[in-house]
Amino acid sequence: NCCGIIEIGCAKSASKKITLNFSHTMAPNSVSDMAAKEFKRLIEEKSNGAIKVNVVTNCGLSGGDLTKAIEMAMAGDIDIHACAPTNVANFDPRFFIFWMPFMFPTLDSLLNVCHSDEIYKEVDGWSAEKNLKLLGFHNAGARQISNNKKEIRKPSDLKGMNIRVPGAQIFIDLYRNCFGANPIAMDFSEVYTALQQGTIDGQENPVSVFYSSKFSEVQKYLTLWDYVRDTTAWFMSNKTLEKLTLDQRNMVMETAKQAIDWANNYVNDNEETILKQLRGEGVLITKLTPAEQKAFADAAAPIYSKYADIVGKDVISLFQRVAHSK
Amino acid sequence: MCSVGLVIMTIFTFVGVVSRKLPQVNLSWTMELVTTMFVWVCALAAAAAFKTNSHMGFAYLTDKLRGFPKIIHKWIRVAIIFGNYAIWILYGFKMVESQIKSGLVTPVMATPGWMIGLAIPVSAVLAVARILQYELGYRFGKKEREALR
Amino acid sequence: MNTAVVLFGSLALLVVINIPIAISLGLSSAITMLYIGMPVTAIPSILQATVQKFSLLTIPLFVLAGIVMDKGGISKRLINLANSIIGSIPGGLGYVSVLTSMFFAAISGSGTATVAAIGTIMIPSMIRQGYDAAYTSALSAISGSLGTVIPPSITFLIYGMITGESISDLFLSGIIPGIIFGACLCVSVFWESRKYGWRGDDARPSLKDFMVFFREALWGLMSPVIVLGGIYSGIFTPTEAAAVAVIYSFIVGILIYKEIDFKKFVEALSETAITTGIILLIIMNAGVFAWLLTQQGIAAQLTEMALAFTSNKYVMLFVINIIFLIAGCVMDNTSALYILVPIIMPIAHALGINMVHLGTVIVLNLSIGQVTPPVGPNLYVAADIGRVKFENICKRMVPLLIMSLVALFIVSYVPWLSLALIR
Ligand code: NA
Ligand code: NA
Repeated sequence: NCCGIIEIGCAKSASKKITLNFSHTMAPNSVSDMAAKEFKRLIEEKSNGAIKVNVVTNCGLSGGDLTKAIEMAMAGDIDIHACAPTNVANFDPRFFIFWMPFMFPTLDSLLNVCHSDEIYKEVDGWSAEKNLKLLGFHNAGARQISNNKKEIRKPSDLKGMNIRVPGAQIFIDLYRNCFGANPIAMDFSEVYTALQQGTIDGQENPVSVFYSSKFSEVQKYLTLWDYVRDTTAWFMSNKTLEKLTLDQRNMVMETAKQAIDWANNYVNDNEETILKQLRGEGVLITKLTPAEQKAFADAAAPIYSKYADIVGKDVISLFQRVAHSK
Repeated sequence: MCSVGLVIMTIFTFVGVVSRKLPQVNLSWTMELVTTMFVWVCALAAAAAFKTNSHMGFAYLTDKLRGFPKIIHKWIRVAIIFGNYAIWILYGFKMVESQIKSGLVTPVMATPGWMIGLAIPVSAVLAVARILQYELGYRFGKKEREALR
Repeated sequence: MNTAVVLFGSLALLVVINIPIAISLGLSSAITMLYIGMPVTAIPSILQATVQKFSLLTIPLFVLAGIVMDKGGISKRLINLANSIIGSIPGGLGYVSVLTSMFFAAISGSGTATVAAIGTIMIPSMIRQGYDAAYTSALSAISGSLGTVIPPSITFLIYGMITGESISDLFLSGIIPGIIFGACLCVSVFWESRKYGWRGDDARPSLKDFMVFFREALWGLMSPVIVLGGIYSGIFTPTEAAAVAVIYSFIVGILIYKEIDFKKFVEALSETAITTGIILLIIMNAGVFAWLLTQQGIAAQLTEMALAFTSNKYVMLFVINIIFLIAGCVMDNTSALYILVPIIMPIAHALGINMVHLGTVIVLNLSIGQVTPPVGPNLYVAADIGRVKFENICKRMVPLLIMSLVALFIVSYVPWLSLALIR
């Protein structure tokens, strides 16, 4: 009968072991790595070893290439890939929304977005067009600016400073046109030496990156301005998803959610510890007041009109509404 | 072709160095342009090296072959290399197809991603052509070899 | 473990039947993927990702800089300078050969380029002076190996790209070992020339000659100062330094020495293109190979096996030396690095071996491998220039090889020599 067939089907797929190749962009023992390992631990336990996870750091499954990793996930050559959603912006500019300055001025505003079903559906829709399934996203720490010249408290402090930024047009526009700084796109591997030699005055990255890259040895001032909150999104290849049974799909989705929650909590605790450590090492840490932060947000406002066409007005207003909901 | 690419790459890398030292001038697109060109130069140069059979191999044992076995080995070798390039061509074009569909562009200059990926299958097609040119060139003799160029 | 057997087995088979090593690496990976039922669709993606890196640009740029420096007449002027210093003592031209190779090594990125540049001038003039042709060619071939150890060096660059170690640290780590290597070769020249009575140049050195030659060679001597100084002080990155070296050598060759015309310019570019194509095809395919090692966890398995064998740092260094000396016999530098370093890296980490020091040891091994048959590019180039039989050059290589192994032993067990110059 009918049930019998289904049972055979189930038994067959259950006995078949699956290995999920999980790639992420960060170093061993970074937040991304630990979250991936948490996922591995949980799902291997829940499935009694039927689902195995192979976590590969530093985009090791795509020759170290960030963009290629996404391409390979689309093609099914990587099963799960965790990266900044903005890496996908090279495929679909709507993903730039995650890098709009002061989109998430407070941690709560970011968490609202992380937990919102409305946002999930929207971004999952973008992902589906690229043959990807969004498993969720978590806080990866706010990008804070450091430099070696002076304490940064107001937009004019940035004037004329050479700041290293990631190689994306939105950062170059923001720093050059809104802050009057001299943005320099440079490979991350060269940043330490460039800071040491004074080729550049400053850089911006989450404090965990600042700490692990030992920038405290070459940077005196660190300003906590929370201008961009990095996130890490988990994408699963639709090709992989099709291979899973319904039970397995649910298990993957549910476990991913658990691991992502774990990461959100971890980032919070970890940043506190790091800031304490950095103070001890003699870095001058400035936390902006809401009013000071607003002065920067006002200076950055022209970016919103420029990117309204690229990212989409409706996308911007959706994110703003969810972020500022109580 | 490769030579022109090399000259341009050198110049732009140099320009990139200089521009970084001058405030107000910042040519962040130079790196991206140079990297894209580099993929193409490598793809074309790798194929070109087959024209003179210059790719490094372990010829110590096979050089000892004489007569008929030597000819057999030669064509088996060519067939194996072609088998490898069949993968490049077949899946390379598939990759380009999906790159076109995905709408991938580079971050600074917004160059379409498939324009870079295309270098892989094109390199394979050229390599196959160069190998034939080299192997047949020797069979036809010198005059024909000249004609093939 | 079956996967590893298929992978390494098919690789060995393809290499033995003279499939280009680059193709063997890619194809053995494809065969293995088919064997374990994995689609090969990922291969073009890996190929593209491997080669789409700004830092790789350093390779063609250093190759080009070396070729241009040679065509521009710098090697000739370096030899004149060295000759005016030590040419007149017994075995003098032998020392000149080693010394100029050391200087040219500091300009060119590749060992084979050094043999071609210095050997073309030194081998004929040494034979004219009564030196044994086979020994002269052997000396030239192994002096060229210095080109791989003394920075800039493409072998160090590739090692740095695989391990993620700082390129400038690696370059610095090669300087003292390179000098030791050169000194060991000079010891061999000393013995051999006493034994066979090879005399020096009759002309007595004069301070005036020296000053003239020094002024002429100065432009060439400045090149390593600019490149290494620029990298060391952080003014430019290694990639940018390479571009600066190319521009500088063109300026010297065209405007100052006036030896580069349009024909030489085009020649230099096309020679560079071919060398680049050869090296990069290996790197691309090795990327696929290394990817499969990671994806299947093969590297991890091999690491476990090696660590079960010995956990003594010094024994492991000895084993690594043996592995790389054997690899150097049958493989080119780039392939050997890509196949072996991903496996050895975690072992070295586990045993607390300094990765920069390990880099120097490996590069020194591979530089010796350039003159060991059957795959020894420097040997073929030098034998060709000296018009000597391959067997003869190999025979006369033995005393030089013994001295190189002495240098290798010292560098392996005195890490300080590699690390002293690094801040
Ligand atoms: Na060198
Ligand atoms: Na060899």
